[in-house]
Amino acid sequence: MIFQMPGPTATSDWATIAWIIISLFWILLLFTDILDRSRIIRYDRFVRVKLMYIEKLIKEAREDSERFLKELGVKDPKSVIDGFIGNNFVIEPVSIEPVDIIKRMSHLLRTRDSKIKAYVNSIMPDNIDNVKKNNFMVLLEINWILDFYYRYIRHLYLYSRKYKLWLYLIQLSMVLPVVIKELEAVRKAVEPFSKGVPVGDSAGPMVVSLLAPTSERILIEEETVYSKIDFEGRNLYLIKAEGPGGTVGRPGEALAKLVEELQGKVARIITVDAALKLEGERSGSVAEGVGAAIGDPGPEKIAMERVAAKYNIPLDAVIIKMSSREAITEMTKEIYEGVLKAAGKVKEIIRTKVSPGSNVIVVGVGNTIGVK
Amino acid sequence: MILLQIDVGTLLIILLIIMLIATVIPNLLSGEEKEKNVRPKIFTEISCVNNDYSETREYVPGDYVGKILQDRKCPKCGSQLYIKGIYSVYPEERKKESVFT
Repeated sequence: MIFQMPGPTATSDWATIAWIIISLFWILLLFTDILDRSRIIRYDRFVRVKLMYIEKLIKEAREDSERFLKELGVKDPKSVIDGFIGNNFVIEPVSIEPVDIIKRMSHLLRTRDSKIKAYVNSIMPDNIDNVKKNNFMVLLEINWILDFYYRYIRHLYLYSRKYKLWLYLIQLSMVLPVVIKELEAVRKAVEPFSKGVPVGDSAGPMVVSLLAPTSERILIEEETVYSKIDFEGRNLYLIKAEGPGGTVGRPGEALAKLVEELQGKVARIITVDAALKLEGERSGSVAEGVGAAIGDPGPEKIAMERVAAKYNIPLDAVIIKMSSREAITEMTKEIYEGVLKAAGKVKEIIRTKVSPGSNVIVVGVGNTIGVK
Repeated sequence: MILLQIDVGTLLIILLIIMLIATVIPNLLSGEEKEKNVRPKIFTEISCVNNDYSETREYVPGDYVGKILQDRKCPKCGSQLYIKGIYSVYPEERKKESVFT
């Protein structure tokens, strides 16, 4: 097919009108901010749609949590969750003067924990066991996280509109897809925590459970237990949070206490925890390194490091890699296989680096939901 | 050979429409992938304390890792059975990942 272009004399009125429209269009594009405004309208709409989506996630999480509470016999679950969400924040300790900051932080975190516990105890019927109470505490935190992110994103959005801070709006729309993915994972965490199913973060406690599945669990710190077994002639001490409720316990303080009880006569400390994988890495892969494997704001980790340094005890770390989403949703088969490998790795370290007759401590760090 | 007579105005309008379509359609199609509400199947692995027997069944509410099964004994050695692990399996299509993962 050949297009035969007519000569200039054949130019119709239509051509003139089209040419004027195009010229006007270019003038508008070049000499006004219409293009920028149209883009901002698109960013604005994008953020609004995402905010509505977060609202939907909040609503779903709330419905599931309220159902869980109703099953436990709580009469007004809505006000219970509202009461927590509106009154839960911790003011960070002063960091410009770092002396005793860990002690101050630990104090604030403990105060917060006991406040949440007191709140949950006040609304739960007396016949509800600690496992369900712990699981519900995690559900409250999940609802709070979703609500907080929603309020914060809404604040940035309204603030940028109010003061015409378009760069704020553009930056917000750039980061929102990642934030949404994380919030979707948080919303999905409601199900395992209401059912009591292990999540990816339960990998550390599960390794400990595999090493001593039927041993007695002795309380050593609040919500933290230890077991003692004989492993091929070595005295193996295993520390984990007290399960099967959703709690992380106080593994650092429990370790420090146990080492002091053993008067520092410990040949090796092995910490096992879930760790965030890098993009492209396989979920459930296991790696061995040095240090305290624990993702804690500070007090528990420093307690491990201090006691290991005080008695010059080698501190090993075994990690099971996973994504942030996998860490808070039902444990996948890949991660479970990683847990089995990690248990094998811990045994190998003990066999090769700890002589028979010595004491060795394994700390399974993480949320022990669904793991006794 | 087919000859098609077309004036400049019509050609410009056609070009405008093509540009509009080329700009709008990719924008409409590039909507983010919505999160599908795919629920995993949860399984419980049961093992003998002597490690000579294991089985996998679907998760039952009340299961937890380390739970001793009071109502059953190992069919091989008669020892206690306990829950060794609980894990989830997603439907196959979710596992399709790029060559980089």
